[in-house]
Parts: sequence; C-alpha cells; structure tokens
Amino acid sequence: MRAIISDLDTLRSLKPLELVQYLRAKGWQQDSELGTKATLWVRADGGADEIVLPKRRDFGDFDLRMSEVLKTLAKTEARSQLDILRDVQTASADLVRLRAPARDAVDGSLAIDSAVSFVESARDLMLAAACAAIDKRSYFATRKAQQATDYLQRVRMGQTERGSFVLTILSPVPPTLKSEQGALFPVEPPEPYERAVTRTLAQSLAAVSAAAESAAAQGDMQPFIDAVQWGVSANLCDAIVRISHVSINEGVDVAIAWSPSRMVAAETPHRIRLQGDAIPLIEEAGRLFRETSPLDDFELQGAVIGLHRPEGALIGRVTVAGFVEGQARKVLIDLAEPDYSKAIAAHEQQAIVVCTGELVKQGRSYRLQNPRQFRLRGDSDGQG
Amino acid sequence: MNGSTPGMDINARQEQFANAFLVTVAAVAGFTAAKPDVDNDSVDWTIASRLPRRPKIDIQMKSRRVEDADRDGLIRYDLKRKNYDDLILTDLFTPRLLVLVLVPPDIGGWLELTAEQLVLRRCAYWVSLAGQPPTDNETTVRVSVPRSNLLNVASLEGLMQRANDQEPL
Repeated sequence: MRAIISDLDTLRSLKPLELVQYLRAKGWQQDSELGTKATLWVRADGGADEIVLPKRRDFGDFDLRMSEVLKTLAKTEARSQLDILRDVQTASADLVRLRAPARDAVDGSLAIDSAVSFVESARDLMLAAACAAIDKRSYFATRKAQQATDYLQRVRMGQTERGSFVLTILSPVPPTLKSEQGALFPVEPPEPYERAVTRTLAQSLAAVSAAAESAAAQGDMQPFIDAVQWGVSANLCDAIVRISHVSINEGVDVAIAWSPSRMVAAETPHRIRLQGDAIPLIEEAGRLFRETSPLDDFELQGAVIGLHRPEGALIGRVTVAGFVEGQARKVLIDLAEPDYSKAIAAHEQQAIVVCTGELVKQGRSYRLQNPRQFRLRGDSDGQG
Repeated sequence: MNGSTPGMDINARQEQFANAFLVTVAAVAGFTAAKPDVDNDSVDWTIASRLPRRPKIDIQMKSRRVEDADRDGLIRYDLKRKNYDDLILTDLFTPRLLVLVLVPPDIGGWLELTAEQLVLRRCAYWVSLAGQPPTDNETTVRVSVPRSNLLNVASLEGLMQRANDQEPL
C-alpha cells in the first residue's frame, strides 16, 4: 500500500505553476484549454491518462482536485503520492542535500546543539556561494552584496531526511520560457542568478575537494589560492569546517538535484564528498584567506602611537593601536596632508582617531589602504 | 424491523445501499464514480465524464427511510450545518449536489432479486444548494428537495452536460 496524501492543507499548498513544470519534466503535454478555468494534460507518449489542472488556487475544492491529480500521477508513475508531492514541490527549485554521516545519527536524530550549528552553517554555505556567484574573492567581509542577502531570503529549508542526518535546502529557480523565435535562433537563455548560485556552490565544493588533495601532496596552499576563481572563499571553507563538526573525522557529503525546469551543463558536479582528512587543510585555507584578504570599508579606531615622515617626503606613515576582529593590533596608515597633521595633533592630545579603508595583513603587520575620512573622534560625528 | 440479522447496523447498510444506487446510475450513464481520498466529509463521490471539458460533479450522499405514502411536492431533510456550509459554496471548480436516496422503512423491501431482474427501492432525488443563504443554525439546516428532481440516467446526463457548459446545475 502506497502512502496517500489526504491532508487538506498540504493539498492546498500545491501551486498550479509548479505542477505545470513537473508535468512538462515528466513527459506530459498540454492538450487543450478547458474553458477558462483549467487545462487538459495528456501523455506525450500517447498513454490514455489525463490530468485536468485548475489554473487558480482559490477554488473552494482546489484540495479535492489536487488529490485527483496526485492520484493519477501516482498511478502513471507507480510510486507513492508522498514521493510525487515532494518532487512537485521541489520541481521549481534546486535541491541541495547536506549529509552529515554522523555515527550518533543512526536513528535519524541529532544532538540539538549540533543541529542548530548544522543549520546555521548550511545557511553560511549558501551565502558564501551567493557572494561568489557575483564576485570571486578569497574573503567576503561582514557586509555582503545586496543581491546575495536578498537571495538568501528566498532560500528555504525543506524537511530533513534520514540516512544519517540530511538537511535539505531549496533554492528557487525561475523556469525557462520558450520564445517564439527559439527554433530559428537557438541561443542559450541567460542563466538566472539563483541557478548561478547553486552552480557556483557545486563548482566551488568540487574545487575545494581537488585543492585539498593537491595541497596535501604539494605541502603548500597555492591550490586553494588557484581555486578562488571557482568560487572558493574563506566563508565557504569556514562553513564546510563547521558542518564537518557535526560528525568529526567523517567529512561532509553534498548532493545537488537540479530543478528539471532548467537545464544544467552535463559536466557540472552534482555530488561532492569531502573526506574527513581534507577538513584540517580546508580549515587552514580559510584562516589564511581571512588573514590575507583585504577587509573592505574597515573602520579603524585607535590611538596614534607612531609617526614617521622622512625629510621632504609628502607621505608620512602613522602607526595606530586599535582592534582588528577583537584583537589588539598595530595598523600602519600612509597619510598625506592635511591628514598627517591631524595625526600629529591627535598624538599630542592623546586623542582617538577614526579612519576607513581596506585592511590588509602583510606578514605580521596590518595596513589600512586607501585611507578615507581620517579624523579625530568627536571632530565630525558630533560626539565629545 | 427486519434488520436484526448479524452484521452492520441499519444506518451503515442504508449508506452502502445508497452508494450502490448512485454507482449504478452513473455506470449506465457512462460516468465513473470515485470516492475522494481526502479528509472531506462533504463530498462522498465524484462523478466524472469524458465530455469535451472533462466535467465532474461532486456529490454529498444522504439517505432516508420513508413511507411510500409520502408523496407531496417536496422532501424535507435536516442537513448537518457543516454539510450545508459546504454545499452552498459557489467558488468551486466542480459543482456540488446533494443526492437523497429514499428507501422503504423495512429493509426487506429495499432489494428484489430474481433470475429476471434486480430491483432497488425506491429512488433518489438531487438538489443544488449553491448560492443558498448562509445560516445561523448551529447543528442542522432543513433543506427541501423537489420531487421533480428524480436522479436517473437522463437527469444525470443533463446535469453533466450543464457542468460541461459551466452553467449552474
């Protein structure tokens, strides 16, 4: 006996457009319009089954009609309505499955603290891919691109699945719309940003896996640096490492099921397994990326503890004692006039200075490049 | 009453009998009858056809034991409030009907089966309550089913044609 969906709320949550995508992907084609309220779908292979699909969800008996659709699909596909429902609901999304092969998850449950961290890391993983889909960088600082944060609002977490413990992440994908001239000028439709994110995720995970192998063999981090062009970043590495903490030494499994509504290049990876022994290397790569990547729009505050300008030079070097990511650090800033004079005044008055720029780590010291808005604290922000 | 043989109580038998009555009429009219899978106690059967727009009719089944003498123009039936609320809806994809199957008071009179023929007593009536006013009643609403609305093959075919044409039943 196969499971039947009888829950009204579940049936009402189905969307006609999702069903259209599902039907197309499963070899159905629209036969005709049935008045103004519905369309008739038939098997493209000439089978006898038919589906009447309401165009709107606001009919009082939409649930009954969806139940009939699921019944027909379950019959033609010879599988349970539950499986079909899940695939219909995910037809318009790329489905990312994150599996933690945790030894203690054999009964399908997970320690609650591990689960919380798992979900948070999954979110960070998607955000890292969303940022890398816009711009390839080794580190994305606190402020993320608007497009990436907007995207994250549309990403959903699905029901978890068994098989150790599997998180499902649904990334919506707009369907391909066929144009009339399509046959005459067959051009690839532009890739929507949502798909670019999941594709970048797949490529960057595959690149991390390959980089970890090469780095272990060569004994240096260059393979990771080369992998930045594929979307690898400190953020991605950190997210992977934290997901791996769910099951120490067991690695991480990621599988992506592409929405049938839009094609993906055949060579795109869809299953990536990061071995447990790769994790320490990925962790180190993340740390290195974070240290060597400029922090954009970094606002430094601190005391001027060093002033150095060679005779006749236009630029002077100022040393500021401030805080970087919670640690007390000395940061060098090269300043021209009139900012250098302000630094001298600040030093005399023992005042705190504020300056914005790109913070870069060079060897053991930090530098603030492209310094902007250098001022004494309280000078321009009205505070005393 | 004759229903003292072991087995289902009289109301359960009556419900089964009414189902058989409807399925029989639908079969002769060339329509399929299916019970919905969903948790919905206001639609007992969905009758489907292969007319051009693939119309269907959702049916709420009720039955009653009545004396043959009861022959005035209207049959009154006290419908549960929930059933009434679901039958007066107008924003439906598939129209709904109330079908009332009348059976003799004595179960021995329901069925007559010989080598020659099968007789099911007595008959069924249909009524559409779509667009009727909402009620303030708490438990039941008394509805009237006209005797002229006999449910037979011809009337079911006519109703299905109207459903196909998206006209009120």
